[in-house]
Amino acid sequence: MNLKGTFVVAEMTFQEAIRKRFIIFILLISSFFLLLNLSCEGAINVNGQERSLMRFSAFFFFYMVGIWNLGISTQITSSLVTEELENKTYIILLSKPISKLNYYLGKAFGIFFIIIANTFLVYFIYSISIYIKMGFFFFDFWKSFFPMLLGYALIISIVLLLSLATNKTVSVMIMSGLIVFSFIINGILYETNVEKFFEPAKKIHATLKIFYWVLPQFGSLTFFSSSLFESSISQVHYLGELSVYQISMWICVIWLILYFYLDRREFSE
Amino acid sequence: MKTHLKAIEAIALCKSYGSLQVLKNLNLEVKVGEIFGFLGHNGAGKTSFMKILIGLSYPSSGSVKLFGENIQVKSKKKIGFLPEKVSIPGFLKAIEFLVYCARLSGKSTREAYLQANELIEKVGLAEFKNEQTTNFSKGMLQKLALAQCMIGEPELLLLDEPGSGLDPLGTVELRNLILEQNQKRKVTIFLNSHRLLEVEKICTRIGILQKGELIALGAISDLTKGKNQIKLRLETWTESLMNLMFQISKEHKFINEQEVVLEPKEIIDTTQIPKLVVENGGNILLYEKSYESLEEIFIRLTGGTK
Repeated sequence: MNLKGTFVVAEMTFQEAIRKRFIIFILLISSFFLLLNLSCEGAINVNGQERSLMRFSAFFFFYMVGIWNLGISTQITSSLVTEELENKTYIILLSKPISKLNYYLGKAFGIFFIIIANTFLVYFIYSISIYIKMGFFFFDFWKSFFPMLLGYALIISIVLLLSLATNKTVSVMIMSGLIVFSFIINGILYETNVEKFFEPAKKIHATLKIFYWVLPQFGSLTFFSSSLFESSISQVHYLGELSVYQISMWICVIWLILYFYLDRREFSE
Repeated sequence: MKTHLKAIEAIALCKSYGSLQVLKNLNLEVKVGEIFGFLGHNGAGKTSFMKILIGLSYPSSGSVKLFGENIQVKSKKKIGFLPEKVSIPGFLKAIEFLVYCARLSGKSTREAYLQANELIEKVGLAEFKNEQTTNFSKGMLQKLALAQCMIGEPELLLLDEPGSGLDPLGTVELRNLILEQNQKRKVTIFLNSHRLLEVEKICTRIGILQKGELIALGAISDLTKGKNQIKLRLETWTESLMNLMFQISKEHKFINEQEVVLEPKEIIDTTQIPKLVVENGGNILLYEKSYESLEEIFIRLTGGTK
């Protein structure tokens, strides 16, 4: 494994992404979430309990940033990979002493760093703002952030594989579908609030459960992360921890597929 | 340390894309230190062979070795590759691109900058080093790509259609650079080209590929052997001179009363012909040895068809 080469590619991918115009759009949206939440003050009544609106908005903020990151992981990965394949800029780079696996691992790391940087930036600004406003540091975000990183890593890996094997549109469509489906299925199966409105037949319920346990559990992972952040608002997801293992396993499976795929993949000029 | 005499060795190499066979049982050896020209029409399989050499593609059967080893990541340390269509990541400045390539070749950032600056100067792009490559002309991109393929002082340069997009001065500079690499560092050069005149000027050996098959291989002088012709113009042709011509030539054809084009017999030392003519009383107005050009060889061997 040429890890030095991998990190060179990761660094250059990071640079490539931050020099693109879409990074401004990403930061603008993130800033919008930030602004929206910093403007929240006062208290809210939840189940008869008086709760600070700040905590509630912080929870909402965590969700927004988390879901926004799921979206941008998909978008940035597909854009950078397919653009490179179309322009054939990989030809010279892959003629250097680096394997295709190391090269694309570097790409994935570079995109991953972008997501981390974006999240760190908004969380950091939020934490500082809370400190100025309330006089204490708000660390809850950070502990919830780490399980979410696995989700971003898996999205980047899947989109990378799909972009190499198909094209941008197909990879974005499949990934977005998978994320939305995962959230919906999680809600139907395990959210008591949803169950009140929609209770599927037993056969459908069983089928959905199979899908739920086989497909990557992005929804469950997000809910689990949020429960680490504020368990009294989100219900406790007892199955949530398993989603961390399941997502980790999926990451290994995808990179195993990528290993064999890249080993035989031919790049045409 | 074991040294290999063969920079490239292809043994019974075949490559197919579906039902299309682009390389058919290719057997080829390129010796260390030589400048080898690989010729062929578009679609003959030249670029497919180069893609196999840099590991972007794989043989369907047969094998290829670089310096005696199977192609693998570490063998790419020994090669520099110039693609036919140069495509450089648009977000990078010229110098950044070279630094990126140098770092991928295993150099530290500091070493990479040093070598990048040296090479960008060598190819004459020093004043544009901080420009985005998206603003570069085709010729400038070729020069930049040439600079990147010299990173890490490779032992083998694989040049796919070098010089396309270069002006005449750029072509001369490129030729000098290739020759310099070959003569000073004994770098093996393998080039795919359509520019037969350039190939003729610099290559020590050539191979001609047609529809995936190697139809000719050798030094240009070997491929023209037996095709040497002499154009001889004398003031008058006496009987003894006519006899002499019959003695020394395999074939002859008079163009006019004074001028004849003859093909000398193999046993005749052609350098002695003017002397023999003078000894037989001939007054030479023109003596010209004409060889088949590479273009003529190429057309003859490929039949002028793809």
